[in-house]
Amino acid sequence: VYGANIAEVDVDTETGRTSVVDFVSVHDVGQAINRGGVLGQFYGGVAMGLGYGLLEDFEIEDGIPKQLNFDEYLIPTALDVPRVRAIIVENPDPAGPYGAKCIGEPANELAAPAIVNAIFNATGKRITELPATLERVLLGHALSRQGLRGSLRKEQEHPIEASCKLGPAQR
Amino acid sequence: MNAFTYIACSTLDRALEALDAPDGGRVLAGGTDLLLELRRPGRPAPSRIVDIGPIRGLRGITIRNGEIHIGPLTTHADMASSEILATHSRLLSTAAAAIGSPQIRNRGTIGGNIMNAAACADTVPPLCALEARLTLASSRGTRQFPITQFFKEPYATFARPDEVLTQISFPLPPPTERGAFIKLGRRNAVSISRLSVAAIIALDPAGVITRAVIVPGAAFPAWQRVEEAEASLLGRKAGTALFAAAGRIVAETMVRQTGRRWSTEYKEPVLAVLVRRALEACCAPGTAKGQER
Repeated sequence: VYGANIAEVDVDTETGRTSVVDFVSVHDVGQAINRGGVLGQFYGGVAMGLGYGLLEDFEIEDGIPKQLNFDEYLIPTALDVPRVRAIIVENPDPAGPYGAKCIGEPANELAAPAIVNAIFNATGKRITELPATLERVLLGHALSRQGLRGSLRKEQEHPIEASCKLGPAQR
Repeated sequence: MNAFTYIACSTLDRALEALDAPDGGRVLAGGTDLLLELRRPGRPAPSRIVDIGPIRGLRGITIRNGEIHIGPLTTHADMASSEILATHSRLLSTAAAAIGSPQIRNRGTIGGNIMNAAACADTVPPLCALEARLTLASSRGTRQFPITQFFKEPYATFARPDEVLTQISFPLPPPTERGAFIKLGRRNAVSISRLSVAAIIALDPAGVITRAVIVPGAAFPAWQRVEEAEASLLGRKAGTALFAAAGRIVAETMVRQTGRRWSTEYKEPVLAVLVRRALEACCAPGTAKGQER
């Protein structure tokens, strides 16, 4: 199977904030059996790949995940996902069912590399670790904090960081 | 979640009576903070929840005697769509519109945002910039606080457990003043402020700054105006270089107060940028974006 993704990003070079503003996703799917289903895979794959590229941080310390809830493990919202221009390339495979190949995994895999390549194109900086957070894009590296995180941190940590990670005002 | 007594109050007197008890109680308004807290494991549960939601007269935005009054049960959605705030203090409606998601803005209240006192509470920097005054009531009477003197540190205020916030008021800003609120989050919705800045600027006809207010959010242990930075603007002509210098003063002040912490490497330069942008937005209100995207 062959595919290609193209991302257009806006990078705020003073804050590191990156927004994906346009996206093209092209995949050879073999025979498209259900066009709506195929497009759904394209769109969902890009949304998920955008989360992988920009937001979804999962760290493990001494065998314990640091992100324990969706207040810390951020996934894209509808306002974070741009229009996706999906281009289906039909190239039936006689060995596949009804000529189909696949589109589940490929739809997702290419998005994050396309986004970080777009960041490189915009800034000249290579992001070599995902996700491309504010800190990685602005400073070139992540910042790590010690101690309990997420829902357990309120009483344990510095009050400014703790209250903001919990983000009660936002819930 | 442990068992508790739930008391729905249709009058303020009933709520104050319910809170005037040795075992105390917790006030429930929109519940967007309290319900999460109740579910958190290992927390001592309050024995009673006093629901002030049904009380009439605690919700709404009015202008009286040269002041804007906001009832504590006014939701973020109410503020985001308020004509009064859009006309007179857009920085506050902008901040309310930047909170959470539509569901959260429909439930969450300005009173809850203040009383919960999270460092990233988005309505608080604009209220500090607007010099808001809080009125609290208990069965022993009422008292008032300037909002900047109401917070001890994140999650801690000077309110007593038996007190209910009953009103938020601030002077009607003169038409010469322009305000802006800027928020930096990690995504475009349901986003917790990494940093925010509320600013107000007044210019004379020659473009000279006659008044300046700068209040950062999620930066200091308690909200405050950064007077040294404000003073650096007075009597000067508005401009990018001046605003950038004021931003650097704000960032230096933050580092002086909080010390160098794990997040300082990021927050120090970015806070300076956000201050500059908020001040620029004040001077170009037509193009001011409320939220960093």
